[in-house]
Amino acid sequence: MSKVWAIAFNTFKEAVRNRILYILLIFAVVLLLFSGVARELTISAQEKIIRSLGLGCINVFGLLIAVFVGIGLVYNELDKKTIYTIISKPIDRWQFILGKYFGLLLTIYVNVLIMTIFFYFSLYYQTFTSDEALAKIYASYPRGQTPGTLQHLGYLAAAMVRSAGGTIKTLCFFPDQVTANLQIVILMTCLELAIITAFAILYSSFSTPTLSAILTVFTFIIGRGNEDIIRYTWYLERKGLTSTAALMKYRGAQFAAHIAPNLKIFYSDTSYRALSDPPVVVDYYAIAYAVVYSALILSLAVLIFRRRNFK
Amino acid sequence: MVRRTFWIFVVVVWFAVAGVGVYWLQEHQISDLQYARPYRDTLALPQIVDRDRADSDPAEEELPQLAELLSVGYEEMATSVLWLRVIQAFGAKLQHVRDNPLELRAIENFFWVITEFDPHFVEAYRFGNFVLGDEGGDQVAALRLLDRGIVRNYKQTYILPYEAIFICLNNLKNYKLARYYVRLALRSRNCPDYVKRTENYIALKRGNYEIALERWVRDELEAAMNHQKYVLEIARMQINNIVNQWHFSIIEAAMDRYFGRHEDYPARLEQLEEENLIGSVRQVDGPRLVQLLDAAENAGIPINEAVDVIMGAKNRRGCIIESNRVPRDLRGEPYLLLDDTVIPLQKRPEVVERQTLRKNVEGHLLAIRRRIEGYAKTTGRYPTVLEELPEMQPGAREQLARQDVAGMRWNYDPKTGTIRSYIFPEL
Amino acid sequence: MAAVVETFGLTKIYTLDFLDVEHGRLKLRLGRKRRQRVALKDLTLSVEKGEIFGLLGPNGAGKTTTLKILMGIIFPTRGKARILGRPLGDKWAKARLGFLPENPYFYDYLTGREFLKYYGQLYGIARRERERRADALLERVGLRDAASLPLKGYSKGMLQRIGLAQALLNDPEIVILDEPQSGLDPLGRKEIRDLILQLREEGKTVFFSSHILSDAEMVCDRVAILYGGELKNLGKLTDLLSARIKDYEIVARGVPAAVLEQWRSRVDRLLVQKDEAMMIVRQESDAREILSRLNELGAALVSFNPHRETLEEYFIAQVRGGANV
Repeated sequence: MSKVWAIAFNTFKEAVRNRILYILLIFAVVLLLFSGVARELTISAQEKIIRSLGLGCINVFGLLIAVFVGIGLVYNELDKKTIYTIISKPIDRWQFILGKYFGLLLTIYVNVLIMTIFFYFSLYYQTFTSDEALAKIYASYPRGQTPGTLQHLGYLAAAMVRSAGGTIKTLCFFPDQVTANLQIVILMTCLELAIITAFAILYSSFSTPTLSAILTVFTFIIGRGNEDIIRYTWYLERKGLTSTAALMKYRGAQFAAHIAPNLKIFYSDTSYRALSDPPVVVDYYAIAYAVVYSALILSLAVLIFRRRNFK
Repeated sequence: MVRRTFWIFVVVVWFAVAGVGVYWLQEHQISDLQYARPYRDTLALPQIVDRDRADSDPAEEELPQLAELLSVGYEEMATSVLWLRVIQAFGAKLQHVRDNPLELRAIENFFWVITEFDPHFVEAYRFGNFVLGDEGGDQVAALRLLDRGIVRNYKQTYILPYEAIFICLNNLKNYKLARYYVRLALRSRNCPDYVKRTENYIALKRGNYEIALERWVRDELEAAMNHQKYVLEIARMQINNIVNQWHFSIIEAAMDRYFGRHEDYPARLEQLEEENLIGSVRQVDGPRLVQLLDAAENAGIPINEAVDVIMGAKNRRGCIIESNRVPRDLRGEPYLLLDDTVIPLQKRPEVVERQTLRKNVEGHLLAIRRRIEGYAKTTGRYPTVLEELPEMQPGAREQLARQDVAGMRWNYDPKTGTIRSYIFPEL
Repeated sequence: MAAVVETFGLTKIYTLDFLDVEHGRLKLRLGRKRRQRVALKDLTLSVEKGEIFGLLGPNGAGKTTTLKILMGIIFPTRGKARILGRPLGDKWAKARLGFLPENPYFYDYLTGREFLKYYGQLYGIARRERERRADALLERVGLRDAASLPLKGYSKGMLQRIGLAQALLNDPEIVILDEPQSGLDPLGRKEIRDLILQLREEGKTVFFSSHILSDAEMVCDRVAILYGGELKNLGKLTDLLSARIKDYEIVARGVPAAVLEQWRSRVDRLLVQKDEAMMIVRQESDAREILSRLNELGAALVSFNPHRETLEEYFIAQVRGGANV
């Protein structure tokens, strides 16, 4: 629907004005580039450091952006009454919610893309300046000579250019085996963020920003610790700690854990693999789950929003 | 105008004083505090080491680790961060780990948490083995960690069982367990071919000379067949080594018996034979072994058959003989008895292979000859006595051998500047 | 003529919290009655096509509530309403409406032109048409020069104007304005009046709410007076206000003081300032007599104003007894 897209694009433009976005983005980029430094601190597994720190960063900052930008989204419209003129247009309320959702999602995905670019850059840079690569360069010099400072810097600059080239190549969907795995992991992150964004919109549609933030973060934590919470409560029950109050708590926790989204499916398979390992398979179930769950939550948001009286 | 200057002055003075104060605090107070502060706090993670023990509550096996719960799914990132932390901590406290058992437990737990987050992080297990075992001295804990890694990466990598082998061999002296790990490593992925030769070393360490010899013979023939020059060299060297060790053990046992009889060690090895102290013992017929090996290499018969023939399994004409003579080395040359006339006199003299001694002497002679040439060039004549060479003086930077082995002096001719050895005149 | 906007017994009752903070104090509300606040009670009116309808009342009377219900911003507790024959919230009807809320607030960072184009998108207008209309409307409301400025830099008057522009974007049949003159200077108010009249010329219906009665008096065809959420009166201005002349106001200069003193007892009011005297008399005969006397005296007649009942006076009379103006 073009109207949904109109609202989405407007939301995107508005979100981009939010200063918190830039703070988070700069922080993320710094952290990503730091991972290039962090590899010096470890004696082995440099590539793992960059990879896991980078992917973790993208995930965390995607989440933070979803929370910080998303919580005020609907609330600010209502608070500042910019919504009056919108509702008076021939547009359904569900189109409005959907537009907000897609606008926020667009913002997040653009940021994820930026972070991914820096991530690939760090990764490629690490490959080109790793100990093995440098050793090869040194070996190509005649015996006894080492490259001078200028040549060394020149090589680093060349490595940066090659990294940039590699990044562009990868992102234009010609990934080699190495980056195909990473692409899939980032895709999973994006799906997880889609669900969390839906929750942010849901909470924003009926509560204040602070409360929305708290609820969204709690949803995220419960969603990630789903199975663990359930197993933990089973364990405690089995251990015999079953006073009535405790039992109520357990049931409550189990209930929350069951209805919260199971976010583990989006990252459970990402333990470190050597880059030469066979590719991570795209989990179609996860994609379907994300789509269906987001649709569910958005429907709930629409339902709540429909009969809401705006002050 | 005056006010402004005054305030500028105040600001400058304030910053100067504060800066100096901070610097002083940093240099004198805080730096002392830094080393006194216990590092244990930053390494304290929720305890999970005990979970894998067999006597723990079975329900606890299903319990999600607290640390895992706390990391809310960011386990990979947590792994990296913890990994960096442990490397830095290790670097900072190199000496202290061994002294402080509590810190050792904390570090062990640290590795357990890291590997709980990411069970496939092989480097963590290896580094943990290094820190706990080699540096920390607790080999049992190291082996526990490696076991954890082996179980979680079963047959995915050879390196963890491989490192476990050495713990069992060197520290635990549990040869059966070592061989178990060897077999496990062999069945794992990416196992390089030198791992299977570890069994040879194990056999040697246990004192099973014959088994070790057979294994090395087999490896030598395989290497010859596959034209692996490097392995061939190693195999030959090891065969030589085994033969020497085997024979040394025989000779040393006989010398002990001699000592028991005469309260003194023999001056010549033939004395052992004369008094029949060797006993009818299995030993290697060196030249025969070499002959059989050459024949087998060129004959092209299947290796199993060749090994059987060489080791004398098929008939009794292999390289193993039973004899009560003093065993000889691989070339058939007798061993030498190095008799140091140094107190304590009752020390058992060293048995050495002739070849080894010969190489040593060769090396010494080469060095001395080179030095003499240099001396001749600079001074135009040969030194009258060897002590003239500055390197002969005690405390010189590149010390040359002042004497031949066994305390013999060199055979030096000042007129021609040639130096020879009395013991090995052919050099 | 067809009724374009009809309401039938619209009621809006707000349910307040059991425990609340009001005026800085904690308030405990017990009982259902205490918790209910009636914003609108049984409003039934209809607006005819092509007329200018004014919804008048003091602040808090329920005018804005009515408009919000009509626009679908809030939902009525009871009652129904129809716009162009369609129920509330119907998109077809909304496509023919234009709405300007009170104290409009729009997205700060959009420029005037971008803003109008965005709203055009929400109406579903095609791109080229959007741009054309945006430019035309900016011209019409006099914001052509400020079209590339972000809305953040607009003054109140400019915001009001751009709000009008967005209300007219889809060339609506009905234009609904909530207190369009609030906060404007007299020139702005005049412009609004002119605009409303212009819209009627174009055949549109204008339904607006206001508490500035003089302006309403000047433009409205029919008015409804709201007070305390209830409809007090409804009808044509000419019907509500009696056409009779209430009194006459005469301002003269140069009247001798003695004469003025003489007249003081006979006139309703007499106000002397320097050499000008203002007199108010009820009867036409009295007025004529004074005029002729002035003529005789040779005094100058400054002004002569017959007063009809103003809407303001009518209004105050209606809501007498604690109007919360």
